[in-house]
Amino acid sequence: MSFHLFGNILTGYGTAANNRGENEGNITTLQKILWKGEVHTTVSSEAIRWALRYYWQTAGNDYQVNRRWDDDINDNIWQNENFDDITFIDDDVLGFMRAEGAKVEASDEPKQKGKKAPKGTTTAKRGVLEVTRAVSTTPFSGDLTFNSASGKKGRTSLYGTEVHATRYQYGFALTPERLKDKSRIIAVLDGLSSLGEVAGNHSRFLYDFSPESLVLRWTHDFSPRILYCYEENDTEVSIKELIRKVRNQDIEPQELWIAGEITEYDEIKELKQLGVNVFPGIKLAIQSMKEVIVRDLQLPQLELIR
Amino acid sequence: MMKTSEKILALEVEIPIASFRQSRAREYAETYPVPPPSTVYGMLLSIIGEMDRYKHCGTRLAIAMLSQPQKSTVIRTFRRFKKKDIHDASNARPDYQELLTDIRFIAWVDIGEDNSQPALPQRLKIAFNDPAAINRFGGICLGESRDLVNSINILPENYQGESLQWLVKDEDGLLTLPYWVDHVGSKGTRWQRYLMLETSNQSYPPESAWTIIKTN
Repeated sequence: MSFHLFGNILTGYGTAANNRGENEGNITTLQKILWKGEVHTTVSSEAIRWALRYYWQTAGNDYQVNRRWDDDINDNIWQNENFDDITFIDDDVLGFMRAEGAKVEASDEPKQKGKKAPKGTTTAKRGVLEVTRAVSTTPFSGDLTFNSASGKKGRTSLYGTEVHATRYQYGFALTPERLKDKSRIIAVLDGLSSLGEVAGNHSRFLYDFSPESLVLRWTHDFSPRILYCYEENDTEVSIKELIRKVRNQDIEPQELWIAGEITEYDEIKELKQLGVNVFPGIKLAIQSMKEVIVRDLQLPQLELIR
Repeated sequence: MMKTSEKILALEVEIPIASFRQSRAREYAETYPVPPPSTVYGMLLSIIGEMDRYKHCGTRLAIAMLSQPQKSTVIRTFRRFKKKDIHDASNARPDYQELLTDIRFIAWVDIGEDNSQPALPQRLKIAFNDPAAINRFGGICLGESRDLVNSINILPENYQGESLQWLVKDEDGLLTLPYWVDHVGSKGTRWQRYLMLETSNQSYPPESAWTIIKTN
């Protein structure tokens, strides 16, 4: 029996820009993909995972992270290069891989009695938390800012930066039974519900990725059915497709937690009547979700004090 | 009309974003325009929590696209093994990767020569009927682990297909797709040539659409 936690997060409205060292001429570009026939900007799942690790490092909750970011040298400082998913939350939740070619695929290992399993295959761990790419809710219209470097001017002092005023949505999946310490699901919820700094200029301090609206699903179903469920038309956000799925009984209403600005729209009333857990505030929804998780996974109540 | 029985079932799959990296792609990570049979087989094993990928060899798969995914190119960090020091800067480099968006397809799963008891289609039915009874892990993905599948449904027996693009075997086809992948080197990887048929309303797989999952 496996419980899965799925989520779909919608950020607030802000101006996204990026400085990842990749330029077209002297224009700092944003990543773009075709989405529903139009060009949308996107932020990689790696950037979101990076921010989650940084949150754990700086949250002050005694989380032990293996890769600690050093702001002075702009690099990771490793605590244990051989990894330890019991001690370190990031090794457990986000996984790791040593860059060594495995000699045998893990699933191909012979399981004959009395024989030892081949060595050299235990240095990789698939991340338990999977995060999808974030996609803007509105198409990119090509906005640019022109800037000049301060101080003495040279050939490259004038530069442009693509900016996109928009919201982003992204999803995640987690099966807590795969964690060495199941209670770390609480830390994942805490991190994703207050993620402040993802991508943007100066690597990470421009765009706020904390949820303005949030959909969570706690279920045995193996497919989330809630990914990219937000649609934005004329600055109004809706979740019509999600409502359709709940109405059609493709998603059990009791498995859903919906919170944030999205709950202020009339269409959510129907969901509430159907039995969806609706909360105006993100924090209250997370607290309620945690209580259900603690009960279902039989975690110590202590975890909720955080 | 589609016929389903104990031996066959059809699944409708939706993945918002994915990349099916071409087997021979090096620096520029191109994607196949359709999910290869080997990738679909891996996803099916993931649904039922089966770790032994040899378990259901002999299963037959047929794939038909419901959407025409759009292709985009992004730049991202790739990891490689240059220096033994794991966090040496030269072990990471930026490279281009192709992504597909809006991927919807139907996968037919037939028992074929799968001799295990119960066979893959039967285990899938059990998983769909009672997901709580299945011990599995991770979000279901197709391609990389971030490429999460949004929904998978078993199609009803009276499903009438509309606008299906069948992937069929053709020795002159321009698509060379893997049906078995060897991740340690590529010596054991097996490919077959395919082409995509024009859109049709044929809702049951033509004989040329079936691919047997096998190691040779």
